[in-house]
Amino acid sequence: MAIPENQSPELRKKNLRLMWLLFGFALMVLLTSFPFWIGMFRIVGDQALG
Amino acid sequence: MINHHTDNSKQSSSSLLHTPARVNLPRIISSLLLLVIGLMSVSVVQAEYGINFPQPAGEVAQEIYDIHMLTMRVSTALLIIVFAFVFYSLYFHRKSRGYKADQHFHKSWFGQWAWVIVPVLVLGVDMTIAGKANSVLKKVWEVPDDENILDVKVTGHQWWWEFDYLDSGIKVESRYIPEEKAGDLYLREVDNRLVLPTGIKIRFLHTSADVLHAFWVPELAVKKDAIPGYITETWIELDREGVFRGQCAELCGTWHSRMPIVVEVVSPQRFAVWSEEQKALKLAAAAEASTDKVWSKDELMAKGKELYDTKCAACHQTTGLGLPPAFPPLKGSAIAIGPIAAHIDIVINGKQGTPMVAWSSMNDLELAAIVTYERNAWDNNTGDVVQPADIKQAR
Amino acid sequence: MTTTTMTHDEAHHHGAPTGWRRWLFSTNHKDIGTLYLLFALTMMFLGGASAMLIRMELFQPGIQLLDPDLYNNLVTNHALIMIFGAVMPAAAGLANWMIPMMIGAPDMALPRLNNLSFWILPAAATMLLLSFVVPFFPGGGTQINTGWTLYPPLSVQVGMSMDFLIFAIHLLGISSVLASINIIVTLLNMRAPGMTLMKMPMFCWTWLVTAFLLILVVPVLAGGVTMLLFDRHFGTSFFDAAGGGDPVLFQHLFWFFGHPEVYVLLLPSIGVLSHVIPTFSRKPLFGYNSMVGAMLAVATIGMVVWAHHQYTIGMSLGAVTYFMIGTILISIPVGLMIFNFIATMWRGSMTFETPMLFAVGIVLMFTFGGLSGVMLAVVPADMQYHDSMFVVAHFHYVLMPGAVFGLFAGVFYWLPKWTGHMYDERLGKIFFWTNVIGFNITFFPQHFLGLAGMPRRIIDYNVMFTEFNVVSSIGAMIFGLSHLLLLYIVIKAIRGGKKARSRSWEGATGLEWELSSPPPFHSWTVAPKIK
Repeated sequence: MAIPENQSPELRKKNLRLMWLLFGFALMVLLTSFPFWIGMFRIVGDQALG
Repeated sequence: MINHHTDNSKQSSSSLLHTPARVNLPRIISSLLLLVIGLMSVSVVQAEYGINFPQPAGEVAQEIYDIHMLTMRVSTALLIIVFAFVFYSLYFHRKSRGYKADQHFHKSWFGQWAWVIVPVLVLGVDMTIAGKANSVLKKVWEVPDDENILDVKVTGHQWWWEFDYLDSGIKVESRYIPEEKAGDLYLREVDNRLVLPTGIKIRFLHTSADVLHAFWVPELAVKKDAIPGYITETWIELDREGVFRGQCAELCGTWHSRMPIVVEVVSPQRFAVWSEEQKALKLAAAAEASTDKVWSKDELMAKGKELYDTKCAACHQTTGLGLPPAFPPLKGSAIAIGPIAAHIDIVINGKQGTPMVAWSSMNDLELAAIVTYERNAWDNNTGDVVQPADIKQAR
Repeated sequence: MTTTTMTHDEAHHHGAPTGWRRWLFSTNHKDIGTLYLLFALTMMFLGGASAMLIRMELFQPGIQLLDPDLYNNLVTNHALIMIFGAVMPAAAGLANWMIPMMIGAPDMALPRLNNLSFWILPAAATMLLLSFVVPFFPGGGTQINTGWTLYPPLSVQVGMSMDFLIFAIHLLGISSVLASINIIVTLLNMRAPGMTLMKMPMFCWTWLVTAFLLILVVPVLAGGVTMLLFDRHFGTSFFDAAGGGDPVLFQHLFWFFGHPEVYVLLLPSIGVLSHVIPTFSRKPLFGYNSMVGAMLAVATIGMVVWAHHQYTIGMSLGAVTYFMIGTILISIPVGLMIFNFIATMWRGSMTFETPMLFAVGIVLMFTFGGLSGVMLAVVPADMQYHDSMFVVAHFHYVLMPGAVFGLFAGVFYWLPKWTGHMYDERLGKIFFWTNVIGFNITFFPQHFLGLAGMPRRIIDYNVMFTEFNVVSSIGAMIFGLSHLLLLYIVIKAIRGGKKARSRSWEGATGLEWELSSPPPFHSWTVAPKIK
């Protein structure tokens, strides 16, 4: 389970920061998808069926 | 067809003359693909059964057919252009012919501006298609306001169709016919057809009793999903008499393949006669069911077997063994040999969360016959006889 | 644990660690890339076997081999295994192998995350297979007869195997999101000095966009199947009209994922093509900038046209018009990509090794599939095509050339780099021809079947559809069996063959060809200088 020793501490920090950022972004997409879709669906649905 | 083939062979033989002996791959590709194009154009010029859509049976369907042909022609033309350029290049710009790569091609004026030219050209093609499509879409999509429109409610069930003529109250239940009886029309023939008149606007209201289904008859062209709890609509005005066959198009479980639709289009006069017949039949059946007559076991068993085999056997099978685990057996089941009241209840009201639907739309006599049959067939032998009056009471 | 770490650290200086530890604990981008590719190859054979069973059943009218639920379960598994098990991991395998080498990096940015994202996959595949196996046991419930779209209410009727499948989809989703994060971080942080984004090789660009697409859409699918799980077990009614929900909501969620997924499958192969065609045309890629732009446009428009998979659900006129126009507009960037490929071949000095044969095949057949896609985009006409065999033919013409042939091209193109041996060119060509001919015999007749009125996903059909089904099934056998030859060629190349030079192809350009074949264990320990 080795970390390649050729990543400098700065690069490693930069990489991990971006990783967490993207991870948070994915999580946000997941969590917002529920209310977003139900709301979106109401709008499209009202138009279609009303 | 023959012409196309000779064309192909001519072209490939002419390229044979110029091809250096070593590389013959492009020639093989070209003859193969020319064959493909040949087949394509056959399908374009001919609207023969089995290759293209069947001849439409109404105005809306005709418009849909025309837009299909338009996009197909445009696509074929584009395909031929792309193929022509690629094959020209494959043939002439080969290292084996000693062609030197033009390293500055992408820096020429064409290379500089291609990213503008190409999208503009494609946009032009797109607008041609989209413009026509848009006007057809408006016409197809919106059901016209018309007082005389004939409303037909189309309900999908696992695995049969129910057609309700909302104005006259006629109901048609339409199921597939087993292979032994249907022969070559197996999976394209039903017991009761959907009968429609020409010359009048017809609106279909699609819905479903259980899962998604889709009503599709290619001659009528309009396809819509049947969604439980919701109603979608399509419309058509038929101008040609005939028998048109289609199938359920949205995957609806085990016997999705056994949901044919057969539409019989007749003249308005013939349709009026048919409507009267159906109403009379319905009245007679209702009258028979509502009399206080006490039916004998044999009568109920005979009637029950016929009804069971058409309405229940798709899931529970004619043998009563079902298709476990989705469709439980009735032979020796707790419901069929247990208390009568519970049995009647599940047949009338269905069972939540399972494919078992409520059969309350059937009349008392029919339900009584089915319950009696289920309680006595396949060695269930309870000896119970359920009368229409019992059903009436249970409702 | 400490000792393992020690030995591994040492191993890093000298070369690959040995034995099973090398693979299980691997943090090396090439080893993980190899694992991805082997996993994809295995899954391809599983998915292919289910496809061949499907075609055998459809060979004649009537029900001969399978029962209807088993048939539809195979349809479901074929799609899920091919998409999540074969194409996506294969593309991720290429990315793992090639991206660090192409951008002058020693390895991926997050090597341990890389290990995790691969090793979730076998677990997910096991869950997926369990969902197939469980119904064969007593009390195992019914088969998943819904197709890969898992539309409720049908998917609510299915027994416990659906829960296995939902769990498998969650795992697959996590794996691909983690892999995407890793790829984005690598591409943004690990490029050699001087390599600006607009100097990045096209394959890297396509993967950058693909990875962003995955992060944007996979969580939405995860949300959708979670709601399905809740509907099945916890009494919610997101998708049940009786409880105030709507079955169509699931379709929106699914296709919001499902349509961009098509580009997820497609774009890596477009990336491969952008290397293969210039190499064998001996001439730089035509329109690098417009290629990047077109790809971004495809990804952006592709995100907002999902409902063209659901034209028949009864949307308003305004909504369908929007989705129709949007979908038709995608032809502009896609057309530009194809144009750029043709213009790259134009006035080149072409030779036709196996990767190039596949590339030419893609340009021709993907164009064909794309054009039938424009036909499907037209709403009134789609009312006919929808859910017919025409659709099946269309998306196989898009995905086989667009995604799978691109991966084949990539494998043949880089196999000498990976193994250090040239593969057997003659066998490679035979593979191409049997594969492509088999493919066309299989799927071309399905257009006709669809137009004549044969719906998708039916186990049994009327005799009027027999002829084309027979042809299609025969083609499918040729097509399916031809992949055994691929397996043989790959094994043969791994075991030996003509030594490959660093620059294995005459016209190849790019950093990956500066490294030896096979490359050293750590790709670029000293970052190369980019002019």
